[in-house]
Order: sequence, then structure tokens, then C-alpha cells
Amino acid sequence: MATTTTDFNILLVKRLKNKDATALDYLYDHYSEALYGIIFRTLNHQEIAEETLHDVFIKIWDSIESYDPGKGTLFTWMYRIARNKAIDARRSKDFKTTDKSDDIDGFVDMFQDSGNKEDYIGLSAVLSEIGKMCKKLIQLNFFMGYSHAEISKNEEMPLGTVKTRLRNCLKDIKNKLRKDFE
Amino acid sequence: MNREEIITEGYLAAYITGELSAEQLAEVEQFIQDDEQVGDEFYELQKTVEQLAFQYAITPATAVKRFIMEDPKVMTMSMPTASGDRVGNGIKMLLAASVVVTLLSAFAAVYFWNQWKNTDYRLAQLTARNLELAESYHIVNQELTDIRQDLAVLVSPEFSRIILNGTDNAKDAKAVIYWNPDQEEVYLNSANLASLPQNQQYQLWALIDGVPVDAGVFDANEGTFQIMKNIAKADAFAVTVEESGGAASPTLETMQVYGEPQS
Repeated sequence: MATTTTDFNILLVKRLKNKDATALDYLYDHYSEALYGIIFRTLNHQEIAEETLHDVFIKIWDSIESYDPGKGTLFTWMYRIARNKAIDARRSKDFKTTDKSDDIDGFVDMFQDSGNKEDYIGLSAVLSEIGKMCKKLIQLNFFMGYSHAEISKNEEMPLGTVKTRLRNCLKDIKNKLRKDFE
Repeated sequence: MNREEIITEGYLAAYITGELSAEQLAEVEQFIQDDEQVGDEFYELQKTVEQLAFQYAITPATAVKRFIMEDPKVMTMSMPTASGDRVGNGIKMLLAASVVVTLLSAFAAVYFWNQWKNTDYRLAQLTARNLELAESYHIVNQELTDIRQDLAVLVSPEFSRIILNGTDNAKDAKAVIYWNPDQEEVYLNSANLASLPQNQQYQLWALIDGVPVDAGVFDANEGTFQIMKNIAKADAFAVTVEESGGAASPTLETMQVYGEPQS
């Protein structure tokens, strides 16, 4: 599991635990856009999404002591914080008074374009190959903060199937990416 | 729960999103740490989610970062005093360094102030000495000029030397006159005349055809050569003692010295 990325992240985490603000500065520059993609798609409301992003980084700063590399990568840990914060924000009273709702209705396929980054690894090409339902499940669960139960209900799909298919879709993407590299 | 179930039934993906119950969570975590195959599968899934998140990232407004970095929690936690001994020691070192620099500066200030005071004092001394020397030079120069003038009179063939000898009033008294009748110049050396009370002065007379003519008043001890009034013709010279300021006609009873030019 050891890679240069994780070695680098070990140093970054160490500096964050020492309350080195420059490490937080770097962390923000490197990860804020990826996390904001999750937060914004969960909330679809710029102002609240930006407030949430702020809260997420403050939580990362405050609770970096609880990050355990043995239980996952730094990104996974931060991703979980961002996802949960965004879900909390969507369920809050403030959010309910906006014209936004937490229904899955009005779903727009986010994978229609290739994203806002240079596609070095050919991810958009891989996504164009995988099934429509795969993409929807990934978007709903990983980018929009919907739980397995919510997706199951909305898509009229058994809970177990949602879980298994999600796993298979991710595996599919990973395998296709690997195949392209080989 | 076994390895196969964890891998194929989506527990690992659910672990990433945090959708497991506490019981499932503990079991999955155990497998991730103990089972290499589960660990590898978990790592691959994490990477895929991360790649997707990075590919479909959205740039937030730039102000968000500023608000985070300026958040009181970040600002206060990254204060040097709260950031551990290393930084604390750094501050202590800086403090120590600044104290040393301050002390050195103070010593240097006192040292240079003393140096400056000494220099200032010595400059004043030297200036005073210089003034003294200048004054001495001026005096010496004046004396030299006077002596040259006297010498010029003494060696000049134009001047005739007339010895005035003491009368019965002052037998030991003596005076010398240097006279240039052409230029009418009269110089007097009165060094051998006795000093007088304050209200009296000596007066020189030139006798022309038996008539005394005032040639000027002088004090006894006023140097070797005194310039007297111009005299063109004289049969004899005499010095009397008169009231200060001199008299219109000589008091003959007080005559001190008398002499006649050699013809």
C-alpha cells in the first residue's frame, strides 16, 4: 500500500498534527476542489456549499489527531468528513427554507462532460464505456451524498443490489483504467 | 462476515462513504488491517473514488480559503506559543539574541560616547594651545619687529648717539638718545632712570638757543627705546620730573640727566 503519495501524506499529516498552518494551506490548495465537487453536488447551492467547505476544513484542522492511516487514506478520511457535512447541511432547517430539496428528482448526469480537469488518466473515456446505471449510482452515492437506502427507494432497486452494483461499477472503472495503462 | 462477502457485497465502498453500522465498521476495519486481499481491494477502491473526485472537481470561490486561513481556530492554533517546544525555543533564542544585541549596542554607545567626549576635550585643549601659540607668536613677532627697528636705529649712520649723564639730583642716572636731525626722529633709552610716584612723569626737553622745547613725557620703566616728539634742532637734551601729563616749561630743580650732541 505504500506509495510516494502516502509517504508524502504521512509528512503532511504530521505537520497538520503539529498545527502547522502552512500544511493546511497546502492541503486546501491540493484537495479543496475535489472535496468541493462532492459538497456542491450534494447541496447544489453555492453559498451553503462554500460555508460547508469552510466547515469541512476547520473540522479537518480540529480533528486531524483522530485520523488513522491504518483505516484508510487521507483523502478517504477527508472525503467522509465532506460528505457527512454536506448531508448535514442538506438536512438542516436553513437548507429546507431554500427552494432546494433533498429529492433525487431533477437528476442531471454529471459525467456528460469530462470534468473541469485535464483528463490525464482517460477517466471520461472509461466512464463513457460503463453503463448508465453505474454512473448514476456512483454519482448519487459518492458525489451527491445519497445513502444506499435512499437510492434503493428512489431507483426501486433492492438494497443489497445497490451495494453490490456500486462495488462492481467502481471495480469496473478501476479495471478499465488499469487495462488502458497496460 | 467473511473475506468474500466484504469484497463482493459492497462493504468496502460503504466503509468509504461511512454508511456502515458500528458493528459492521469494526468487522470491516479488522479485515482491512489483517487481510491483505481485503486491504488491497480497499486501497484500489479508495484510489478510484479519489480519481473520480479529482476528475470532477469544482473550483470554489477564492474567498473561502482566506476565511479558513483567517479562522480564529486556525490563527490561534498556529500561534508560535501553541506550536510546540521547537518554535518556543526559537522564540527564546530570538529573545536571547535580541537581549545580547541590545546589551552590545548599549556598551558600544557608552564606549563611543566616552571616546567622543575624550576627543571633544582633547580638541578643546588643542584649540586653546593653538590660540596660546598664536598669541605667543604674535608677541614674539612684535618684539622681533621692535628689536629690528631698535637695531636699525642703533646701526644707522643717520642717528647720532647722545649720552645724558646724571645731575647732582640723580648721580647714578643715565639715559641715551638716538637722534636723526634730518628726519627729526628722537628715540630714548630710559632704562637707567629710577621709578617715579604715580602722579609724576619724566619729561624730555630739547634746548634750542637756550630755550627748552617739550620733546614728550615718559614713564621710567617703559622699555629700551621710546619714540619721542620730533626735534629738528637741539643744542642739548635734558630730562626733568614733572606732574603727570607734563609741564609747559621745565622745573629745572628736578633735572635728572643732561647731555649735548657732539658737534
